[in-house]
Amino acid sequence: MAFTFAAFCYLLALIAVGFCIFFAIYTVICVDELRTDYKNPIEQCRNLNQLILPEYIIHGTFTVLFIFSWQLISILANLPLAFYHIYTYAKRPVMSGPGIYDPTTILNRSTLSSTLRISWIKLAFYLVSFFYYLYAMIYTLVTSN
Amino acid sequence: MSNIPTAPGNVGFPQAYGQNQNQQYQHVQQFSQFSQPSAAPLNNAPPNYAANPFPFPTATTSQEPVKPVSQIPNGAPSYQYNHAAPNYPTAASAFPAHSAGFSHQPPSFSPATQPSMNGHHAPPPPAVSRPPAFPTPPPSVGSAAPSIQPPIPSALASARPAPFPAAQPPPAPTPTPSYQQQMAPRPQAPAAYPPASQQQGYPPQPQQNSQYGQPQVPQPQMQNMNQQFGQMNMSGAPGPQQQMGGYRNDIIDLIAERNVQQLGFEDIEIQIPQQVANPNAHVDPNIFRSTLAQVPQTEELLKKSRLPFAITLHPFRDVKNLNIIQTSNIVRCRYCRTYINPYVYLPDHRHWKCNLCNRNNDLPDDFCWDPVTKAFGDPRNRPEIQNATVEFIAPSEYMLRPPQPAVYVFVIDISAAAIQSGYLHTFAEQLLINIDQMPGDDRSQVCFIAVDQCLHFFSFSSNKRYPNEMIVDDIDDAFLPSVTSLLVPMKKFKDTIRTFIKQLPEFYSQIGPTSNGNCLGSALKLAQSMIQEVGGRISIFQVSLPNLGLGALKSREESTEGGQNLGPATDFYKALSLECTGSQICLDLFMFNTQYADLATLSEIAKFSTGCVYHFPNYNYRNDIHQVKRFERTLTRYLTRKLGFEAVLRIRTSRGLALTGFYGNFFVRSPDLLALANVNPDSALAAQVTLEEKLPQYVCFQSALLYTSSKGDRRIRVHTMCLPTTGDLLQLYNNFDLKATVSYLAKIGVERSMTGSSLADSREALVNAVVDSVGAYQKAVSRGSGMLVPRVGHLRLFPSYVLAMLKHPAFSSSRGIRLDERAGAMLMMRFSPLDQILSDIYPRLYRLNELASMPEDQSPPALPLSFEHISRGGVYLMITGTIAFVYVASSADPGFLVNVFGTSTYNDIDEYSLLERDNELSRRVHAFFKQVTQFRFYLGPIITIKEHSPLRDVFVRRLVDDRSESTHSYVEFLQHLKREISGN
Repeated sequence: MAFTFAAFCYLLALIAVGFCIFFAIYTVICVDELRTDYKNPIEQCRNLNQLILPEYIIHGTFTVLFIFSWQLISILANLPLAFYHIYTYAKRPVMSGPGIYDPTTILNRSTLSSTLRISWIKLAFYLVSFFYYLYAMIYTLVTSN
Repeated sequence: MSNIPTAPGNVGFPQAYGQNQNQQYQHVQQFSQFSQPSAAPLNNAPPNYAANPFPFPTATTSQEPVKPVSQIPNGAPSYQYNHAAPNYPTAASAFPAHSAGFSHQPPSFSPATQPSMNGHHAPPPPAVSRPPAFPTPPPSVGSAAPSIQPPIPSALASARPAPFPAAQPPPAPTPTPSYQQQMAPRPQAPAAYPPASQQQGYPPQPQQNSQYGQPQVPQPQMQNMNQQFGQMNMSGAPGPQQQMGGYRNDIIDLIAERNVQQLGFEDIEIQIPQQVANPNAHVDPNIFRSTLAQVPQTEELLKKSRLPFAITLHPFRDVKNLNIIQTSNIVRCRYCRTYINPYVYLPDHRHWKCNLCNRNNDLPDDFCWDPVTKAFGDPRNRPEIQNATVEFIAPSEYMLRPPQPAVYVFVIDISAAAIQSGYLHTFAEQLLINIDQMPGDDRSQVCFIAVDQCLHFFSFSSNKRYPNEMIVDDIDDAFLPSVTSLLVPMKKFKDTIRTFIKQLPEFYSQIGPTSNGNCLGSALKLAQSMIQEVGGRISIFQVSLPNLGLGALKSREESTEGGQNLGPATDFYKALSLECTGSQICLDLFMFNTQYADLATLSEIAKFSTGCVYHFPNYNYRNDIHQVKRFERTLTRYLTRKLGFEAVLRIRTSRGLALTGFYGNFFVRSPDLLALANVNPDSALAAQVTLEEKLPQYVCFQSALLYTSSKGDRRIRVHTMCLPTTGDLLQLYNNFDLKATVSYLAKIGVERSMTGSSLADSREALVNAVVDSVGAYQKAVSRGSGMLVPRVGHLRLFPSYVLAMLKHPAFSSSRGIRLDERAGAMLMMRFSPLDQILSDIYPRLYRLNELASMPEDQSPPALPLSFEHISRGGVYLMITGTIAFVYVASSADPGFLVNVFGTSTYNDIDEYSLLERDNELSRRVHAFFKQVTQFRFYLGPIITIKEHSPLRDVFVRRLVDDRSESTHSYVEFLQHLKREISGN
């Protein structure tokens, strides 16, 4: 068993995607609270916006690492999401601080439901990624003999 | 036979008159039949059975007698037969029916009393005959049955009138109502008896033609008859017959029909079902309105229709005779918290069933207590049940804090451009006049902040005649120079404030060393911090681009394509607006810019704080007197109108419906709750509606506005709207409400254009709205050619209003519109109520010459907006949303001119000639002006335009049916739509 760069990337990705899972769960909870619990949309959006750049940077980082270690399956899985993040951030409303959620439009019913759906999709994606990275790390360690 | 030749001459005039009378009766029957569909089958069976024995003998004898006397015998015998039919249930009823027949003879000899007598006698015969026939039904059913019964036997009886004409010469007025009844159910007879219908179908045709050809009938009456006939045919005919008949009478081809405007633009009547507590209660359509006056029962039906489904709501509209209720116990549904309203279901005096969630609730004991009679009465007599709009004085549990006082802050631009525009003169003058009329109680407070490169605060003290001016020049880290003397009670400092206002224009009549900039953002930050503990209203009067301090903006008008800069450049003003909403502060903006001032960004302060934006482009108090007058009028209305503070608006819907988007100036606090820092009578909103479940027979919307009045009490204003549902696709088009639709499309187009979408997308969406609607209708009626729309309803006007929207400054593709003017036009649409939007999009054009020859109580009809309708000898009045014109053609009638303008010479007319003069015609003209400009608070004074005046283009540009340099004419637009529909 030799610890290679690829295994190191998967190890980092495991830790990173754990944070992403937490962010996705937090987003789902916040958006659902907006829909049912009549929370203050300004405060909820402020909380959500604080996590946007960390999530995007973390995800971008381990995507770049996968590119450097040339893990094709992981690159193909993460590159669309990375481009989606860049696109979403570029198309965000005019804001002085970081983030993509606007308290004046988030309570539109279609915006709310699409945000919730995207959050669930990302949560599922991150969970699947977590187990894949775990498998891939072990596989890489074992096959590097 | 000897009697007949003299009868036609006598019958001609009474018939036309009586026919109109009978139409109303027929309409009532139609309404009743629609309201009680479940009762119809029960009542339908006995008449059919009773009438069946007669068809064959009457058919064999009807052909020959009908032909010689086509008109009178057809009408009279059926009426007689109608009386004869009740003879069969019981012999006793024969006597009252017969006596009723005799009572009809006297009216025939007195034409003056005939209409009222005829109307009075029409209902009694069925009522007399019905009770003996149905002794067992309960009273409530019994009251419904008579209204159902008359149409059915008439339908069958009218087909076989033959045996009676020879036997009994009819009275003169008798044929009229029966003839009308005969027309409505005609398509039903052929389906039942094909051989008889072939003979029967031919004779009525000439009568129908002669009916339409009568010149004595006035146009409005003919229009009503056409609509009535189409409606009756639609409701009475079976499916296949309906389609065939509908093409002739109920469908018009827009390309062939030149006068769609003349068919009227009245509100669609809502048919409220009978099982609600008070079916006679109707909400004011100007307050609550749906784009579909009949709601589709399923989502598939709505998608198939391609019609937009939305509501428009004007929650704080000025209401006459508002029902104010003060009670310790407001009755609401325990589950969904809906306020009790006329459309709940009252099974007994102890319970009520919520009309939104369909759950049962208890009525409190004191709900039935009537303070007038001092006894327990019918719960239906309560004002909550009697009225669709009520206002409660709220008990203390509806307050989070003591009611706030009225607080006013005026932020005044005193930069160089502002001084040159001279708006301060008008502002000071109108504020001085109206300051005592501003809403508020003794606790009202006021503050003034002047803005240029520095911030100018004014410290008031009671022992000085003038306030101290304190200047803050560190605008990036500004602070309030005083804590207590800037915001002062209006009552206590009344004289000092008035003196200050009077001197304000002179204080800033010269351009000073600090006049070359404006730091509005810093001023607003400080104003917000000053009143954030209380709330209130900040009024901003701005001329320059705020280029200094917090929220500084740069000119970006020419940087890229004009349409792309309708979104904000920075979110400073949006964030400020959200903070103000949280503090119950409303920001209103009056913009007088002569150069680019980035109205698209500045308007963000008004959008989320429930403010309004009033734009007066190129304002100059010496050069443009019309703008000054318009500003005067707008400011007067602004200062004196009612005001509600710290308001929230909740809109509830029946189960199965959901509101998915809100458009207007407010902050969406939760999916059904809107936060409005202030609420005023001139703001309205639109909301998009989606279907989530299959709907029952009717649905309701309820809006509840909780606010603090300027007198310091907490109130709840509740509006409730009830709409029937339908599974019939064609009924959706017949009940399509264009007024609500245009208002909704305007607001949604503005919203999308100012939040990132391109203007071209909004224009395309407007065209697609018409293409989808009309295309789906043509598919529904299986007619592929032309531009077919139903005659009833508003769908026929949809193309002309969308074309007018495409030519409006807000959505026009013309290069000549400056960016701030486009933004100003858009912003006006975003918060305006629908009557303001409609008049600004499609102005009203009237020919004033007709006032000279019209009866006293009539007014000229609105004309299509085309130069085709402008004659060389006419004088015309056009009323848009903000300007009113009187256009004088060069060959106008000198008699009219001398009476109205004081001179018979066209060249001598100037802009001051249109005064009310001491003659009948001038008085009538000005009375007409007052009538059509009522409740139009943003309309400037009437401008006189002569045919050779330089202002002529302003008038001509508003004729939206004509083609201009870059847009279609109305006819070309129809051809374009037709190609689009064919392409689908």
